[in-house]
Amino acid sequence: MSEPAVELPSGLDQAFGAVAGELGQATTAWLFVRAVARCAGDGGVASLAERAGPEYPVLDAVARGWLAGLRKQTLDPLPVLAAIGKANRLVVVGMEATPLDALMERLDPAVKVAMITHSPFPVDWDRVLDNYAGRIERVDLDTFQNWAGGKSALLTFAYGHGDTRTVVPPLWLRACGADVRAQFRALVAWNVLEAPLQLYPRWLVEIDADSFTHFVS
Amino acid sequence: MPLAQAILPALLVVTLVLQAAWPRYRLLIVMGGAASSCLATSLLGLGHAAQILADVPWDVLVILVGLGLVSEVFVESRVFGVLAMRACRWSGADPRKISLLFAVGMYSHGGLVNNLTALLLILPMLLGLYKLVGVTQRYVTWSIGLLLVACNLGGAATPIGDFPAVLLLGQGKMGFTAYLVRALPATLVGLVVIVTLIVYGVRPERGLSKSPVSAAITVDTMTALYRNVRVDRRMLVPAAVALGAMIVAWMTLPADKGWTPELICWIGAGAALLVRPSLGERLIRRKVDVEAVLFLLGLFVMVVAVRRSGVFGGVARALVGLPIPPIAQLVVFVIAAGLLTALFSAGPSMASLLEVADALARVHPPNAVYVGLALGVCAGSSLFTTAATSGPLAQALTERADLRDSEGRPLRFGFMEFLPVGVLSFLVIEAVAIGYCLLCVHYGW
Amino acid sequence: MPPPHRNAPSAAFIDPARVDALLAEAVPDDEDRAFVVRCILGEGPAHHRGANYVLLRLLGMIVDRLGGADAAALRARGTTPVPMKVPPHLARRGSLMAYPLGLSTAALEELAPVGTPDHAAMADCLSDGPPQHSLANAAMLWLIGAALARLEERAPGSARPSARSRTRSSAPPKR
Repeated sequence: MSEPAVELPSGLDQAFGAVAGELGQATTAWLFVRAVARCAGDGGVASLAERAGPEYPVLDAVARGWLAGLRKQTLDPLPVLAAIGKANRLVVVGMEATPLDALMERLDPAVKVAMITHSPFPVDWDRVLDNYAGRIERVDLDTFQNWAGGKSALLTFAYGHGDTRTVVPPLWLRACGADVRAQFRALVAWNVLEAPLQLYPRWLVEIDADSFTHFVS
Repeated sequence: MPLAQAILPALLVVTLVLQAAWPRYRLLIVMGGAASSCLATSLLGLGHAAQILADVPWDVLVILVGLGLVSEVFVESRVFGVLAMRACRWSGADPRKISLLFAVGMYSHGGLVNNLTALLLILPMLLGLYKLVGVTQRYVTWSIGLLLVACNLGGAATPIGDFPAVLLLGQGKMGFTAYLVRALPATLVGLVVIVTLIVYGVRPERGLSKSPVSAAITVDTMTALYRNVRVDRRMLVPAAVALGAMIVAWMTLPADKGWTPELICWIGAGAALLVRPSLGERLIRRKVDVEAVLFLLGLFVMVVAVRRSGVFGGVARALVGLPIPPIAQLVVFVIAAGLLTALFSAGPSMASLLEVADALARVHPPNAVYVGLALGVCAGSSLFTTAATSGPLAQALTERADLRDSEGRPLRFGFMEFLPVGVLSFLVIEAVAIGYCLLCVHYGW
Repeated sequence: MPPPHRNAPSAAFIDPARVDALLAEAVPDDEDRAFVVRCILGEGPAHHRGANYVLLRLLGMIVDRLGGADAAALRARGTTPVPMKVPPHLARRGSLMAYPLGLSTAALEELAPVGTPDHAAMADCLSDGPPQHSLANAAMLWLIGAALARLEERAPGSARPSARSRTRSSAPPKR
């Protein structure tokens, strides 16, 4: 954080909130950080972290990672595919566009995929699903258990991993109650942040990492 | 008859005032007003409900439903979303270009598809874009205002764009081509003048920071949001072909041989929906704008009842009998159409004034009267947000988007915010309408 | 409603790998078995999980000491699915949502012949409830069935466990 701060246009926090639900907080954070770095250099990224970081801790983590030298988002879908294993139904809880795109590219077309369309941010879910050309179906909290079964898996995105704890979208807690845990063979978390969050995990919720059957970093 | 001429217009006016005052109960009020009108005509000996219903212009309702469904097929093809994304990229997220492109886009959409469908689809995208760009109250007021006015002008530009023009087509007052060649240039003139005044005169983007960071984030984000979204050509092409065929049929097939506009629309819309039967069935079941259909049905019933009382004929005779030159009568009529529309909205005004227009058309060139009426109604629709359904819709969508300026203050788009845009647009469109009428009368078009 | 557990017992002694090994023949697929073991030992209250572990381990020891389980023979004598308990309106139409471990009916034949209402009712009782009950019941029934089969083999003059008629004949008359 030694870069001199650069004046950024106001309202970037509002802009982040406008798309964080649709692209995912980590994906949006990377998009913002790259764009700011391109136009305003590392000083701009430092300003972005200062200005919007407290409201959006994932953006703060990505920006600080950038300043620490992490210039590329490393995502490997193969361990996630291994965790999903032989499941023929996958329900995605939460949204992260870049990792999900990478996963969908590799996922066996025979696997049926659904997404629980719920977010604390405004989201145009039709547009989200249009990006997957009909490959992902839309379910909600009332109906996703239609997808339960011995060959079904739940997948969510985690944001950093401490000693034993991680943070996930609150939707995971709403979806994955004691009943649901025994209805899906695999409960998979895909960590999309390199380092744990340094700020209070606003918009997210802390949870034991070992509550998942598979935690993919 | 004098009793009927007092009761039936009073019922119509009271109903219109009540529905404007309590829009939440709009359908209940209008349907109640329609039932009361039927009861009154029965008791006054002016005809039973069956006779009133037989006079309702069902052809207009068929055209509205048919075109609405064709619009929904276009929506399903995702063409609007992809176009909006491309507009954003072409503009480089420049606020002035965004205003300009979206206004032109809404004008084009409004001319071909249902205004509300286009607005419902485009406005949320635009509001999302505003959040990315970071906007001010000034920008929101003038850019969304411009969008609404462009929408209204587009609706008046073609015989299928909005209800007033559809009514002229459906009732056989004007042919498709006859209306198009007159209204399209007139509305284009109005659009160019208003866009020039707002985009280059008012300059809504004044006060916005022109940061390359905002532009880069906006363009990158829009690209990411539509990263894999493709136009579904299997849906778009048949819908475009069906709409194109309908337009050609409207322009060429003789209505007096049975090729009436509503029949062409019915067949064309059916063909567009049959291409994907499951989607077609779903659209028919879920996407027909029942609210609009019932609202218009109620209005038509009340207007038919008032017509049976002879009031419209009386108003027309009074207008024609005004001690002013004939051309001035036409001007008064066009201005009255605008003001009545501003107060009571386009549907009721058009439906009522068409009866008066018929009388005027006997002493003036009919094309001047009808197109003048459509333009006057368009001007009135643009005066207040409450004058057209698109106004409250834009207000609701803007409130839901929870737009804020750089200081975190909420940005609004309501009656008062729209008023300056409305007054400017009303004056321009009325001027165009009057100018058009004068030219028509002068050159005998 | 049972009173709340004031001091929840510890279940730290649970070693899922041991139960996983016990069920290796009953549920050959590794991922399916991991799911079953998690439901038995990883979900639900600690006292259930601990009790499941203890009983399964002890039953496993009995089977081991009797010479191990013949899973193929048990499976051949029939299983019924252990249904997954989702709210009825959410169950997928036309497909039974079931766990990968079925309920072996071999042991139940000792108590009631196949096809009788009692047999069906027993299977229902064992497969009902949350998975830490129903799947634990199913796992125990596999081990009990395996143990009984070994005991049958050891019984003098008994070539094949056709004990159904024997047990029914000694059963008290039905109410």
